[in-house]
Amino acid sequence: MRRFLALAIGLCMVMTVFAGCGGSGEDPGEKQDPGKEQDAAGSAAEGSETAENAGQTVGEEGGESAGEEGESDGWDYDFSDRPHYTIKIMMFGDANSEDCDAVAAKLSEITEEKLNADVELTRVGFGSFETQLNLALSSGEELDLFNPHAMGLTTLVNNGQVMELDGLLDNYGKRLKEEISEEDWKCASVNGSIYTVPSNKEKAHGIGFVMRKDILDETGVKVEDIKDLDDLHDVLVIVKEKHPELYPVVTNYGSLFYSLPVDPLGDSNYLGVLQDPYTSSDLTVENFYESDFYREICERMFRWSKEGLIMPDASTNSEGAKQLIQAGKGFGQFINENPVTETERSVACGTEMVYWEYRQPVSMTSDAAYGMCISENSGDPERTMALIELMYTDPEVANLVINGIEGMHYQVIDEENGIIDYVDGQDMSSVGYSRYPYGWPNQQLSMIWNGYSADMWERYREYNESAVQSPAKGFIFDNTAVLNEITACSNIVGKYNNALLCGSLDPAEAIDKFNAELYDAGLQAIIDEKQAQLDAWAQNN
Amino acid sequence: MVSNGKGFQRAAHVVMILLCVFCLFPFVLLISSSITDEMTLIREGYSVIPKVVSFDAYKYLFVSSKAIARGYKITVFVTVIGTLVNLTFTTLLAYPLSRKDLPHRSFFSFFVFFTMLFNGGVVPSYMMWTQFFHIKNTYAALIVPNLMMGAFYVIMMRTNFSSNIPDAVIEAARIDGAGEWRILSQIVLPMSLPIIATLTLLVGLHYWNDWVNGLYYISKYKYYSIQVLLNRMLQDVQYLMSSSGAAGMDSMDSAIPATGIKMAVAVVGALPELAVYPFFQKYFVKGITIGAVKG
Amino acid sequence: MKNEKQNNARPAVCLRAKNRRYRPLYAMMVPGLLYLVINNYIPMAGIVIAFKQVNYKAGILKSPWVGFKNFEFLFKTKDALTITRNTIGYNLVFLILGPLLAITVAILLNELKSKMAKKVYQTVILVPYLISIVVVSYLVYALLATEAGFVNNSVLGAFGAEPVSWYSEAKYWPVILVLVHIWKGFGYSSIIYYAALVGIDRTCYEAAAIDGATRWQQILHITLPGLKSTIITLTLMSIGKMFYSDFGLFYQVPMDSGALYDVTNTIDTYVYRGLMKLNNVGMSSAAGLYQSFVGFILVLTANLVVSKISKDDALF
Repeated sequence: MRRFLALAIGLCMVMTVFAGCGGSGEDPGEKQDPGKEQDAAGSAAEGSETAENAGQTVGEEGGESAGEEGESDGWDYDFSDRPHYTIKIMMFGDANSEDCDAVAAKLSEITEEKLNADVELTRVGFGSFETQLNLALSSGEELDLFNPHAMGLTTLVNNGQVMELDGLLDNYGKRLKEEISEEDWKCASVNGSIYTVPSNKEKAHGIGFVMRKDILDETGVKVEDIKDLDDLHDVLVIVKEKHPELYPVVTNYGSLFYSLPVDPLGDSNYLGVLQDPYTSSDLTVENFYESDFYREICERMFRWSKEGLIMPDASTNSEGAKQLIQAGKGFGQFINENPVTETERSVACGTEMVYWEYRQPVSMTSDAAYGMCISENSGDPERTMALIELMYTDPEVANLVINGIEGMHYQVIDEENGIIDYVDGQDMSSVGYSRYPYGWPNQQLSMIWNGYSADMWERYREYNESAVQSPAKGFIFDNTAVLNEITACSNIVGKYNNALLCGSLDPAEAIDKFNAELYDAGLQAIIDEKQAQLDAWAQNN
Repeated sequence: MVSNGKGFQRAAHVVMILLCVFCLFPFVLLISSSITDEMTLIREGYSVIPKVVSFDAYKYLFVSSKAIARGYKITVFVTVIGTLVNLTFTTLLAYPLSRKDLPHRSFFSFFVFFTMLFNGGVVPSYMMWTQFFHIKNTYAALIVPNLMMGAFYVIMMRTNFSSNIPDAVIEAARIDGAGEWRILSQIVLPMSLPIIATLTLLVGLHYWNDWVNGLYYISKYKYYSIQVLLNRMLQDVQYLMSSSGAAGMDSMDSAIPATGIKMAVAVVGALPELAVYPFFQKYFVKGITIGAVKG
Repeated sequence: MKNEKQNNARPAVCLRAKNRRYRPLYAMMVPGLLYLVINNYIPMAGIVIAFKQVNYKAGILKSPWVGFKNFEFLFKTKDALTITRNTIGYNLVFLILGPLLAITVAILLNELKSKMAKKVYQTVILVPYLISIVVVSYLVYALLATEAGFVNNSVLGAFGAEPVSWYSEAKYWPVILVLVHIWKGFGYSSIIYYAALVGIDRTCYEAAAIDGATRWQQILHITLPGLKSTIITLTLMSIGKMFYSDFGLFYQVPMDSGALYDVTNTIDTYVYRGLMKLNNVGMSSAAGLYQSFVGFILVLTANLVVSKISKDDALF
């Protein structure tokens, strides 16, 4: 009896290795096949005929709204011979299911006609987005389109979770190919293949300090007069004197800087960086934490902290800088700049904010390699690609996915300039469909939110054109060979870096200890690997 | 002193009252922060007595948001169904395992216990439940995976059965011609009311407080239970804290609810549990005594 | 010959009869066992992930094997010692202090005469268990924040002591973490022990009282032996989790403060911090498997010891 049971359980487990895992391995492949076959042998039989009929009837119904436009803007993809399909989109940012469904229904009206497909939209808040997306991508769940947000593109590629887009772009994303620069496509590529469609957002970031204008005016200092961090320091000292109730510098959820003025080569832990992406074309990978700049900034922050210019418990603060400034607790924060930083912060903090530029905008790979990906499990990558193009090129679609539905999520307050605002009685926290314009393919086609200037998108274009380009832009680091070193170093960076930057750790001893531990943990191996990959990349470009 | 009952009683009360203060103090802090004006909360920090009282957070939860009422309904439904099924499965498995004469008893015990130690990770479970049972975005997703029965409860119940129910009682019943089902329902269960009540409570708490299933299997707002709702809010903040420097972070915090609201949800989520608890306590007394059965 | 045959047949008949007798018991176990197979055993196939470099495009099965490569990161670090020490150290303290307090409280509850007080105490000690660990971390922060914190402001301030920068002073945290853990969990375990306590036959106490046994003697000779099997079971189960740690307690409660890593970094937090940005399922399953495996060995050993001493209390 016992032996029999043991055998049975053993068998059970072996079988499940095949059943359970085979599910992930083969199902997606099988699911893809029908789509591809359909593609090849388009006009097969009854199946496609009914699909055609369906397409026609829907076309007739929805024809009035989008039909004419569709023809005029050169839409030349025809999916009417394929069976009807539902394109599944997953996007970050919370939204009520009812609101998502409404937006999806509205979007489906357009896609039924152009893609012979409807759309299912799921939106997940940031805190659970990565978990849910990862589960969907790992389990063979049906998912077509998503923005991986902060999940590294190389990792997604190495995990086999995203689809190679080159062929799809040539056939179903022709206008995307035209509109997006060659350089950006390089940033979106891993090992020579494209894996993401870069979003049309700001493609560079400056670093600076944003602060309350009313208080700054009181100090008598003009923002143009602030030349460097020493000048800023003097301002902060005056602020502290005049307004003891304010912390001159607050942190945003425990971090003082969003980013530092070096090119980390796509690594948020700054393990091996290009020291000067602004003026130099030198491609030497160096240890950032050993640099004079790092020591200097840490010492400065330590002094500031001693002088009481930085909020207490800066590195463990669980409030946003926005909330602290809004509550009259903070004067300003270090921030990454985009073309509309001042307006954006003023709206968010409820008081006029002014921006001081510490470092000019610079464009790196990570600034451009951000956008929509197609899941490896996608049942119809062709139509999904065409949908990305639609989102990128059709203002109605772009605006719909970004801002939601008129009358439900926004109202037009200025027809002429296309300025919109929340529906009466709603605000940021009660609207059912959260707005993250940069996450969608083309925010520059969407309507402009109240408070922002009407030439906002023009300014985006200028900003992107005038930004300094990092010499390593286009390079993406593949960390597969040094994973052990990276896990060890990540822990050490967590231990020292944030505390040092927030000025809560004395750099005199800590920096040396920090570096010693990093080298012990194999930092040199990471730097060497990065250098080797970067050199190889430089030769090919 | 030792044998003095009164002294002992008094000392016991003192210890328990101290412990209760230890337990309650942070909870008071929680409640008071949920009724403190949001801006004051950020400016002044938490305090035991709110400096500026404001019920805005609760107003927001109960008036402007449908989510709480819906979340309550879902939580109650899930907890009741889940606990009933869990208790049934657990009892049916624990009783045979408690029988020392059951052939292969230690094998089955091991089979149960082994699941406490090893697991294949989230992805395989997720595949199992979503691909074969299609529970994603259904109420079943909050009931079925991981919670419907757990080795911990089975082992607790088994231990309790085998140490509190003498073999002789069962043997006697069998000789009287009672079948196993009858022994379970008419002798074992009535004799085990305390452990059944305790486990009902623990399983119920587990279901009530669960948010992990929601994290994995629910992506639609309308299936959010109270704790899923609360934890989504909290996770968003945790995410912001752990991902400093991520692209586009500036505008990311727009949807983060105010601290007072998070605290209010935490209070709203915990209070009903405290209200139900005393109901279970009356079963925390000996059921039918062994003596009575023997007699 | 004939006799012998009959003799041979009789045990077989007996055995069959015996098995038939247990058939209802096996039938009872079916739903539970089936659930375990579906919920636990089938997904256990995922353990292979720990030995693979997973590529979902190829499928888990066809992904290349990498042997023990995924485990390397757990050992190829100087922190390996710290995280193992912290994980085991805290768990040992929890293993001893947790039950000690819980049993004491359970006994006190059992001895108390006032029914009303009993109910109130029982309810109140469960309160901490009901608060989400993230909210707990906010509450701890409210107590320990440098400027606005309750401890620095109201307690240390009242004694005229210097404020302490709690989140950068590692030396206090072992105590703080143990306190938070016990605070959160003792009510829950007290209830489990209490349930076992009320199951003890009242007549034993009555008999002892007649014999003139004091309360302490009763506790020592009746109550504790009565709890023995519950204590052993719970302890064995905790031993199985020896290499695990409560992520919320060690990551969120100290607010991930770098200055505290020496005393707060455990295997779980180390793995989380290391893999947070890597999205590497192979390495995270390897870590889980390592934790489970060590726990498994520890439990097997402990169970063996228990079964030598008291057969009936062994887990299996």
